[in-house]
Amino acid sequence: MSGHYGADFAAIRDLDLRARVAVTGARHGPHTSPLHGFGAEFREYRHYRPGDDLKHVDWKAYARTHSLYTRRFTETTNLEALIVVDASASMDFHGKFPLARTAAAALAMLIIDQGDAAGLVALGSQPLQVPASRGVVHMARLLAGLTRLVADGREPFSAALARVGPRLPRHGLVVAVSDFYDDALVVPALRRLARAGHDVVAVQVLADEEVRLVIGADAELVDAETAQSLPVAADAVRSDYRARLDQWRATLRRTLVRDGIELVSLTTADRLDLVLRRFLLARRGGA
Amino acid sequence: MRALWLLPGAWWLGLLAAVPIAVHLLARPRREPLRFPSLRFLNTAAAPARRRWQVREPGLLAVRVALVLATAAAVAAPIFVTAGRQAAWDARVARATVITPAVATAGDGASAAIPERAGVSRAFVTDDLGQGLADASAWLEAQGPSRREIVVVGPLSRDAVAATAASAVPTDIGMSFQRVGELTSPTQERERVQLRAGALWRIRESIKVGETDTSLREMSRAPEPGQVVAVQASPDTRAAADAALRAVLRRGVVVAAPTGTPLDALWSGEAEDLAAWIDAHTIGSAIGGATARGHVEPMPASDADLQALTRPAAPRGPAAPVDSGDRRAMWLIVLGLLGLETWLRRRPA
Repeated sequence: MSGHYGADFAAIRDLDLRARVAVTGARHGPHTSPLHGFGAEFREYRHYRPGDDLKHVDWKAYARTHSLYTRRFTETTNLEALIVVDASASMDFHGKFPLARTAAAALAMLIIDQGDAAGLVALGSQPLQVPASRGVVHMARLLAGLTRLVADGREPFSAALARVGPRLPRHGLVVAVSDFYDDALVVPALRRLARAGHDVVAVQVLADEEVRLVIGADAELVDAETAQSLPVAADAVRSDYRARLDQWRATLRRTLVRDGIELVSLTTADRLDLVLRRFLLARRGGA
Repeated sequence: MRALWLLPGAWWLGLLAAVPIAVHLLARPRREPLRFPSLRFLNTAAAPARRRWQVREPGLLAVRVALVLATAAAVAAPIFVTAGRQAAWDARVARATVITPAVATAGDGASAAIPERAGVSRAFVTDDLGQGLADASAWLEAQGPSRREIVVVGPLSRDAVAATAASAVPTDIGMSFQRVGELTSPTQERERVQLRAGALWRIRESIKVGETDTSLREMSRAPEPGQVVAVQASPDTRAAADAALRAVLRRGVVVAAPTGTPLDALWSGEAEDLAAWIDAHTIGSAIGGATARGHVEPMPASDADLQALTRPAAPRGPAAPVDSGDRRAMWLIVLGLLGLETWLRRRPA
């Protein structure tokens, strides 16, 4: 099943997806936890208290100072990630949705491959909700669900984001894959997730045709979700359209960054592997 | 290479080319609705920017116009005149010989005067040269590709020249003349003019010689036959006046009757000119009850007049559908254009 997405996954397999914020997982893992514990990374000394495990007592310090100190470590944990894919009708345009599925699949495979748990939420006509879990079998199940996914949903993407909270009780990673055209509802939903302590990544997927307005010279455009119809002379409105779209994208980026949400822009003209590598390397550097 | 058309009237079908032009200019094409996700970034006020008069699918329109024109051309039956074809046609000569009755009854001598040449020929014997030329032209029009010419055979009077000049013989038909036989005597009275009363008549004609008008002829009574007409002129213009008088007399004005009897003026010019001459020259009192009769006397056409009307036969294409190959080729082009139009119409946008 992973064959559909294997090429893009292979291009980023040498990297890992690090949580940018402290996350809480149920298992030990490579990600920073907000809790103090006895992980691998030394954090501080503390005077020994009765009940501390003697294996964490620094006996060398005791020999020098005749005082008992307990070494404390930053607890590391595993990551629970939930990938939310926009399966609304607006994604069904010139390869947008396949690209969104592939990006989601590559990230899910990467997360599971590095031992973390990944889940999936998508509200198409057939809602797909795969809770976060680990393992090859789970990955196959997740990819199969992605493959069957069709962008024909009637519910707004914000409804899918609203389902993330109950399914991701701990601080985890939320990857929202969408065009974010429903930004009036989606941005507040993402903001709530970020403020709840989740590491939120917004992957904006657009078709190159909609970015550059590559349509017939004289077209009858129908809004994919509202069914509003509009006859358009593309040559006459292209420059104005692109200016508006660029301005909207810039505003969206500023808004998300201000809320601590990372935005990854992706179009069908881009190479997915390069975009993902740039994203992963940036997170590794900032981790 | 040029093209001839056996049915050039079929080119009116070419007006049908206006139909696809109008359709492409006026028709509002049915646009397939395109689902578009980012409609909100389109300025709805800019939507009516579509031009009302816009040629849609110019390539398809060009093919359709070409299709209509090619169909009209095929119906018009083209014949493409190649150098080889033109040479073959030029090798043939279609000749119509128009013979006046005087020549036709002249026997073997007249027949021998008609030049013998290779090609299709036909003789038209007529006493009405104009009608004969029209018949000959019609016959030549029906002939195949060839050089065409008309040979006029006869004594060739000025009337013949005038009839030839007035006839509507196409300019690509060659004309030549063969003078055979002699002009007959005047047989028909063309004009009769009653002069006004008076015992005396005076003929006066002024011809401008030099800077002054010179009276060439002026007499107080009718001249006798053979009478010398006096010319009153100044000494220095006398010679010119005499020459002018001789020129006038050569026009054929002969006073044939004495005073008191009807005057016969033998007139070799046009009848209208005779009337004008009489009006111009019988001024004042005229012979009472005298009658002037004018006769049209046939005059031989001058060689210069005949030479002016002589022209060579121009090369000419077919006047009948002698070759359907070009028409078939044209229909093949029509079929090809039809296939191209179908492909353009059905190809995915």
